[in-house]
Amino acid sequence: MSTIKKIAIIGTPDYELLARYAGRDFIDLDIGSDAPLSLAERYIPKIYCAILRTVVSNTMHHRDTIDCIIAEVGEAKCDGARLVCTLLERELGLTVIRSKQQDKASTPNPAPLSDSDLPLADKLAMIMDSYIAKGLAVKGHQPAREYTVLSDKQFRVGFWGVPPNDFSLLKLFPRETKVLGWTRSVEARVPWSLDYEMRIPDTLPTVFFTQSFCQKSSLARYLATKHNGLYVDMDEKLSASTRAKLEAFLELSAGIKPWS
Amino acid sequence: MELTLGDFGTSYSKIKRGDKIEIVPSSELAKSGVTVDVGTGHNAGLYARRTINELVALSRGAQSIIDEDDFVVLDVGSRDIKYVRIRGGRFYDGDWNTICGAMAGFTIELLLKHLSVNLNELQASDMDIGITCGILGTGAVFDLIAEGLLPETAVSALIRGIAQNTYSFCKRPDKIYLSGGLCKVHAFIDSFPCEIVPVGRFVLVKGLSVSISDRA
Ligand code: SF4
Repeated sequence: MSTIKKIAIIGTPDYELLARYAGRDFIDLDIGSDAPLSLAERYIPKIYCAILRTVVSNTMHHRDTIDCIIAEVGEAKCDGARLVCTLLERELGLTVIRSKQQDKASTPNPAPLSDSDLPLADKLAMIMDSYIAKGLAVKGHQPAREYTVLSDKQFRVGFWGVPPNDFSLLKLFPRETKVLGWTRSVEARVPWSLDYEMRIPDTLPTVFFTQSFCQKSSLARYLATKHNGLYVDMDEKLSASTRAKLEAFLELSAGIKPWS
Repeated sequence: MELTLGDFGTSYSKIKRGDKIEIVPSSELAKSGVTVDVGTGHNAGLYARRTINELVALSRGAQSIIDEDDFVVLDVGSRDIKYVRIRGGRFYDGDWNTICGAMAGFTIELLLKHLSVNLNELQASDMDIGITCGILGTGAVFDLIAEGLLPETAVSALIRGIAQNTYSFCKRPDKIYLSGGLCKVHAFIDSFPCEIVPVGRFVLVKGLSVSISDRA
């Protein structure tokens, strides 16, 4: 078994910071593992963003295998992450290297995965994976699967938001789902850009998703009202009623039946 | 042969056989062994061979009975509230409130029983109590009673709070077509700051009929 400790990541830190650790093994603390979420209750409230609870429980669970944490705590993530990093640093004695990306004028890159015909869950997972891979300048890094980039006319629905804590929500969407909001901004390498996050195609029925207890819920609600989309929040798991609401929106606004 | 249909709510279920619709307390369903061909509602999975989404049923049912191209229909149930806005004869937007702000009907039922208050004798309140959900609303009612208000007055204030919440929830339209068990309750209807047109308790059952004939 390897004794070299891993570099843990929170959010989407600056590429230059990540590149300093090229060649090391990484662990993405935002993504659920076998660590029970209840672990986090030792340091943070139970009623709190499930992604940040995942971060804390993962860090506690993997404490002995983590070398240091590189965390985005600027406008590309949230204030919750900034505060949680301080708790982890003080309570678990870990070194936290902070990246504070600010909103700045920058040309977004194209976002082919967001516009691809892949299943929505694959798009989101690949966007987040490829961020780290690109950050480490892995030569010739390509997403593992083949895909086709769809034209605007081919999309039936939009998904705006962060990757959810429970990916089963994403299975309700068809392949013709355009990824928007923060996740798209990660692929376009402008995860700090509020302007980019607020770009919504005029006529595309869009689901505006946030984790429960996330500050982005105000933005999601505002955009859902402005664009006649559906605002959905979810905590740890997709509930039967949230699922039903989503299915209804997809069927009534985009003709997507649960069985089609 | 005509299919049997059912709207299986948390407190009451409506079962349609032929031209007849029967309202049954949902608590009695398990014992009765009822099964229908097509159902909707929170408990439909238990009693229907095929289910149709509640918001879809509400939308289809309302469009079949409301002869307008632009309208808002709101259904206030025991456990949840949901609305659909139709524009130009098509679905425009809608939402379904199942967690925060929900449990409205259920909270009213519980409080009426607990405080021995008759719903149909209540007057609309002009008191504003900010409530966000059934649980917090219940707390507010008990606080009002502790301050010396009559239980009837406190429950009316809660009902007004629920009406105000549901009005905001469906984006403050000028007119609402109101569906569900509360659509005949004056204390509720008169608490809305807009025109209310009651459309009865069977809009979802109607939506099932329309949906199956569309898919036939
Ligand atoms: S979901 Fe929101 S609150 Fe949670 S980590 Fe992401 S940005 Fe922060």
